Amino acid sequence: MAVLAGYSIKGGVGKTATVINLAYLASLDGFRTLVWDLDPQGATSFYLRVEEGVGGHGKKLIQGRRNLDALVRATDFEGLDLLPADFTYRHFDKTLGRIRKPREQIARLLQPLSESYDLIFLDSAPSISVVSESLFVATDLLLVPVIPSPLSMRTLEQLAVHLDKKGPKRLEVLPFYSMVDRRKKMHKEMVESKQNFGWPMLESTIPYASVVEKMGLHRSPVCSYAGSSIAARAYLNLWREVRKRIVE
Amino acid sequence: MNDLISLRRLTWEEGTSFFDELALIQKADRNATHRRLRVFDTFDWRLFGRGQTLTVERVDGTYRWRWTTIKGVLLRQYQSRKRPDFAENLPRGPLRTSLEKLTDIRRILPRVQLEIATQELCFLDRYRKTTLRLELSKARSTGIALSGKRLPESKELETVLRIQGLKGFERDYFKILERLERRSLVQPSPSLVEQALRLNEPPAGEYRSKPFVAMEAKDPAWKVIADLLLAQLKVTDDNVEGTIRDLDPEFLHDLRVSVRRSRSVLGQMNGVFDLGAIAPFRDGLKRIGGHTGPLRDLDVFKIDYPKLVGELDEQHQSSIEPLKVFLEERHLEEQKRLASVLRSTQFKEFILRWSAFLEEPVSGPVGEEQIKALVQNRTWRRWIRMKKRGRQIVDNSPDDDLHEVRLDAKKLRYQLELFGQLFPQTPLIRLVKGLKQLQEVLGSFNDRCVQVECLSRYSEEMVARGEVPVATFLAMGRLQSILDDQRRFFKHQFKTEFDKFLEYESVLAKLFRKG
Repeated sequence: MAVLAGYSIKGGVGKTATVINLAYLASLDGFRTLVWDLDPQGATSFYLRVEEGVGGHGKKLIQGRRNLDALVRATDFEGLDLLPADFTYRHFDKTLGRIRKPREQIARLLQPLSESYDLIFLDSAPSISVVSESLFVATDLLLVPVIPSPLSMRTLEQLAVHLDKKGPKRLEVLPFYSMVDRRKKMHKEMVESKQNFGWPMLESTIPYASVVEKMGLHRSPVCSYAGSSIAARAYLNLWREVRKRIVE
Repeated sequence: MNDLISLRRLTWEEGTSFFDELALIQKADRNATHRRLRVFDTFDWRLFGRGQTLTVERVDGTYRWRWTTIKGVLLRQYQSRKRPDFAENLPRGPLRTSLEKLTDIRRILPRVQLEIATQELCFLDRYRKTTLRLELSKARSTGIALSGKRLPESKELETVLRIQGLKGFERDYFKILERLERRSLVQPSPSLVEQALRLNEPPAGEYRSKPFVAMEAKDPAWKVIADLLLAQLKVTDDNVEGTIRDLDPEFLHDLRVSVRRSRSVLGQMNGVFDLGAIAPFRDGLKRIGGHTGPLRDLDVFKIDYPKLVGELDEQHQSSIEPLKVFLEERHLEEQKRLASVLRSTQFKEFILRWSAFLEEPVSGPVGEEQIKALVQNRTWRRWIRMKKRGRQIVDNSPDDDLHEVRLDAKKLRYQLELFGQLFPQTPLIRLVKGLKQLQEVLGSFNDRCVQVECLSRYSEEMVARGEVPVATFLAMGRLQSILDDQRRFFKHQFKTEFDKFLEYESVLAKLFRKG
């Protein structure tokens, strides 16, 4: 089983759209796939039409009083399942902070699912926190979408410094340009510069596209309702790049 | 994963009326579709044998694969521009790993085509999320020959209602099942795919490379042997077309094994049939073995090639490429030659004559003896011969001496497999296990001998065909040397393994020594 996480310190960079589309493509590519919506906002759950929990399973999970498998929901896409968000995830930091080995908890919770799934995608809230520390420990590949701007690159460098000091050694970080608008000179130049910011950027870039924004209307992955669009093909290229890392 | 699936048999009208009823009381999407899909499996039904199926549907220029249980629970899905052929041609990943475990080197073939008309009803919650899927389907199925062409006759399948409960939304699933029971629509049904596979000609799962032929201890030998040989002839015949078409190497392998088993039975049970009457058939089977040998050697070399080349250092690996090209060319030539033999009138007539003889065989001097007593006698004699030969072998014995023991062991193993049902199973299984271990070493030894000899022959043929770089010959020479070392290693291992097998003599004696 491999764990991939969509992560960003900033919000609104296309993290959730990336997680959903890559997970969808993975499920069509022979991988049994699960997405865990760790963001209390529940955007992933919204996009996949699954009702977020309000039952408070977040605390019970950490305390070992519930297991993840019982909370899994099938999406409308065969082969792709979802662990929906729960509003109590907003207290995750506090809950994790009260127990032993907080950084190991997400990995511990995911372990029993390894027989049922080949890939688990984690969609986390934008932050640096105990939850994200735990996410880093559980994750094999960290997908970091970055808008091509100086501020975003600075954020990426900050992440590099943080992970260099405190990140698990085996974590592989895969930053890529997201919401790229090639009509903007700065975007175009930054993408073409191929500059590294802590890690090499992936070759694939995701364009800024209204068809991606329409995920909120269709409530499904772009690759399912607009499979031949430029954005869908960009996600496919991104998936192919990520896939190589998974199988190696 | 782990969706719930229930399948019910009912008429189209019953199903439509049920959908009409449900649509009134539950928010739902209703659709009608027509689809064509093909069911893929290996020639020997490896997926079906595991209760699984692989269906492929062409949608917008893409092949959508669904690997499911026989009831339809999804295991994995895949989209590709290509149809299935060999699992090793898939990109690396869990699909390839899982499929390769099942299908190995066998080609994944289209076996059956279905034309399906479906009415679908999807229950929706307040977010318009599907919580339950019902599919009412009727279909016609058509078999697909090894040529890839559909057979002329299509069959109508029974209408099936498929209820698919989704993980996390099980309540709707159980509510519908209850409703179906209240309407007395309770008849369980196989899925459309399962129906199609069972109605297929031949039915799914029927092919066995090791067919079982029932026999009783007191049956006359001529009858049992004739039945056994007919079963082996069927295996031979079943594999002819796949061999001609070169679909995968296992067709030729199964064909050769069936011929070898037939020859072994005729040799071991000599005298069951009239010697004069059986002689032309023994010769004919021997000739078939001779025709198929060179191609099989090439097949084995091709299969083992990556591993063999992996034994060389990097420099030699890069120089040996012309050997691969040569092997491909020779394989094509040999394949063509063998295909022509198998298509020939002589071969077809031989099969017909052999079959006719076995339907009404001419009994020989021991034909009327009871089969069990005869098997015991002949098996014990084989063991005594094998023991004598095996004990005489030392490290510097000629290789041919080990080959004789290898053939003895093979014949002994065939006896145990073909007639095993006549004997107590526990000691027999132990005996076969012990014999297999000895045969592993003998087989590995033989493989290396064959490969060393093949490399010599191939290098001569390559010279005859034209210029070959010196570096290639050096690499082939190095490979030959490695294989020869391995040959000596397995030869040395023989004594240890043979001594271990000698410990089974008491088991052999108990089963086969009489008087």
